[in-house]
Formats: sequence, C-alpha cells, structure tokens
Amino acid sequence: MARKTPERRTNESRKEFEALALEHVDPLYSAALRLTRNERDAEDLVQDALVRAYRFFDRFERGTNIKAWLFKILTNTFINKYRRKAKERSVVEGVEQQTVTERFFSRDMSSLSDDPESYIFERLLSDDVLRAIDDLPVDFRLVVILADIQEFSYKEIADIVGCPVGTVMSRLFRGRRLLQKRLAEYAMEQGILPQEEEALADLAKSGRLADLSAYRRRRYG
Amino acid sequence: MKCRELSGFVEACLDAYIDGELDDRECGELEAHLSECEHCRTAVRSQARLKALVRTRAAATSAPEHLLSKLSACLDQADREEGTLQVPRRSKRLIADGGSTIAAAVSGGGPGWRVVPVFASVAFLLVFVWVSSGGFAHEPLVDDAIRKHSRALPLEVTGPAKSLQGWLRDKMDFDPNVPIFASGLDPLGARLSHIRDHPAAYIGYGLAGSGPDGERMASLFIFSDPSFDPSIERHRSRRIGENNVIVTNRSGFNVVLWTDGEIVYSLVSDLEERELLSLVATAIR
Repeated sequence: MARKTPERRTNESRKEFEALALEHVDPLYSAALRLTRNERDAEDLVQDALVRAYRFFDRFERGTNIKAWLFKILTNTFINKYRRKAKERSVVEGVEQQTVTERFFSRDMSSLSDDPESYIFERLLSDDVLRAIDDLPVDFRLVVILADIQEFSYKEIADIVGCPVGTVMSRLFRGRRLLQKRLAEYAMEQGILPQEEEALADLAKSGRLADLSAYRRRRYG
Repeated sequence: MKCRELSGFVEACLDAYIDGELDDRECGELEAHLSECEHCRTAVRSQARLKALVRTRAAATSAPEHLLSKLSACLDQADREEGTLQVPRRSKRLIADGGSTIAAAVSGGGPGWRVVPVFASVAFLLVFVWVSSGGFAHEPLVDDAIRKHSRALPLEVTGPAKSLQGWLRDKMDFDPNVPIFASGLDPLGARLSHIRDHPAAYIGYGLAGSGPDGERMASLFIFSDPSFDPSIERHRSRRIGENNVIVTNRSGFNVVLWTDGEIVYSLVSDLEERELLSLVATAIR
C-alpha cells in the first residue's frame, strides 16, 4: 500500500476532526464559561482544549464517546492552566423576557402557599441560576455542570474528572444541596420569599449524606 | 416499610434515582416505598425540580461566532507545526557526533550492527569532566539527549517492548528495562546510541499504532553512570510514588530523569510537563 504523504495525512485527519469534534463546540464553550466565569478565558480554554484534542486525535478510539473524550481534555486543560486564574467576576447573560408583573402575578404559576418551591423556582431568573452555579466551589460546579447540563452518566463523569464514582456522587449531592440553599437565599434577597417563611428553612436545610455503596453492601451483601 | 427505616436508603438513592443510575431492583424498592410515603415523594420531587431548573435555565450557551474562526486558525497553525516536526530521514545510518571515529570503522546499514558499546570509551577523545556548581549540573547530558531526540534517530530495530528489550540486553553491558507507558504511547523501536561518553540504549516512542515512521513523541535514553547524582538537583526533584524524578525544561523540551541503581533513564519529549510526568508514573514503580 502506498504510503501517504504527510500533507495528505494531515488533510484527511483535519477533515475528520472537524466533522466529529466541532459539533461539540457549543457545550464545551458553555461549560468553559461556567468554569472560568469569564468570556475571554472561556474562549481561550476551548481553543486550547480543541487544539490539544486535535494534536492527540490519533489517540481517540473511533466509535467511542467523543463528547466525553473532549470534555476530559477540557477538564484537564482547565485544571492545568486556568483554575488558578479563575476570575471573580461572574458572567450574567441572557435577557429575561418576563416583566416583573408577570413574574409575580401570573395565574399559571404556583402560589406560595400551595407549593413554595415551585413558587420560588418559577420566579428565579436564568441569571440567578447561573450566578448560583458560578458561586459553587469549582469541584462541585464541575460535576453539576457535567450531570445536570451535559447529562453525562456517573461513570462518564468519573472518567472525565478522574475520580471514583463515589466521589462524583458525593460532590453532586453536596453541590446540589448548596445550590438549593443559594437559590433560596436569592429568593429572599429579591423579596420573592418573605424572610420569615418557614418553607425556606426546609429548602435551605442540607441533607445528611448516606453512603450508597455501604448501604448496598449492608443490604444486599 | 416505614420511612424511618428506609430513610438512609432514600437519602443515598435519591439523587441516583433521579439521575437514572439505580438498577431495576433498587428502583423497584424505592418506588414501592415512594408509593407509601408522602415525605419521600416530596423529597424526590424537590430534587427532580432542581435538576430540571438547572437544565432549563442554564441551558448550553452558544459559542460566539468568532470562536469558530479562531479555532480554524489555531488548527491551521497546528497543521503547520506538524510539518516542521517531521524530521527528514537521514540517508546515512551513522550519526556524525562524538562517535564519528567509530562510525568510520563500522560498515554501514542494516539492523543488528555488531559494534560493541565499549567502543565509545576507547574512541572518545574528549574526556568530559564537569563540576557541580549550582545551576543544572547534568545539563550536558540533557542537552545531548535533546539534540538526539530532535534528530529522530533512525531506528535499528522495531517491535514490541519485549523484543526491543531482548535486543538491547544482548547489546548493552547493563540490563535496560524498556518502560511501558499507559495511554497509547508505544515504543516504536530502538537503536544503540550514546549520551556524552556513555553508551546508551535509545528507544523512540510514538502514538500507538503509528508504526516505525510515526512521529517521535518521546525519546528515552538509558545509560549507566555511577557518577550521576540525583540529589544535587533537589530543586527540580518530584516524587512519583516511591521514586524521585528530576524534571527540567530546555530548548522547549521537557525532560524527566530517574535512576535505577547506576542506570539512568532520560526521557525527552515535547509533551507538556504534567502529561509527561503522569506517563512516567504509569511506567515506574
């Protein structure tokens, strides 16, 4: 078989890379934005990660999950280069369509007494949710992004982040409870919820973490 | 089943249930409980809502337009760099360096040339003496390794690590171990070389499956040097498991050095330091 010239090899592999990898730029950017909390760094992070992925594209096993592979490279690149320079400034995006009136008085929404949680959640803006996510410590933030926004499985997340599944579960559990607490605080700040509301206390309470694997061992032997 | 008995179970399984990570048996158990327990049903609903809230409100942002064009430019640059890293094949098999007098004495070509490594100490006219004087005392060793890595020395023999090891042990005065790195960096082949005045085993590493002509991602030199003293490079020392390695960067290459008794292993690569170190960690005990 005739050997390909280096140029031909490069062109083909570049085309293949573009076909397989570039469709994931949006989710990669979205995650990068939550991690770096800064648009410029997010762009640089995505760029660095994708160039790395391209350099090591030969190592990617065709047929396996390329999105998980790319996210692993993104995560490693973030930890190696960007984690230390995480900016304080949080990114606020999107324009909320609803007016204030609609936010508080829409007939379709739950009333406070029926369902306090829905009441609060429905009135929180995207900005609030993003701000709450961005406020999470980065280890928790990463797994919440991967599980709840990108919908990777626990095993995939463990591979991407490079830690055991148990650690993923623990961080997810704690991250989500923290998030709930933070959202309840925002709701108080914004007057969605009166400060003395008891439902708030329930929401803000964080649960006890039980060890699933230990439970399984005890129960199923 | 009373909720209080199962509360540990529910706590532990709640998130896993909502994330679809429970197996059928666990799901069945949990759902049986949920059908009877308002408190736990509420808890599940609450967590499910939070997850949905995050998913809808923090939905993936689109990357800005200019990012895609920036990416294109970066990939072009990477392609260009690929080109310059391809070292042209030398038509001569013998390298014109300190071993040139020996080279003249050996008939060229073919794998399995029979020159015994002892030649280097005889033919080498330069007696190299250096004194540890602060700075990086092993600089000349490292520089030599880098030079030879850049040249992508032609391989004398190719094959899996085991066969390379057999071939090298046959040729060297000491027993070199051909390290096997995890994650797709495979030995492409080996040859005899030297580092300064030390006969050395050379193993070229590349991406798995790239074959003997594959890009040389890393070069490993193994040589015996009783005078090599890792402890004088304390500030460059890193710990990997039970071992201490020395890490340095010169001329844009990362070099990791470690010893096994009097045998020195010197790995040169343009991979990033962190990645190189984690590769080394997979190979040395």
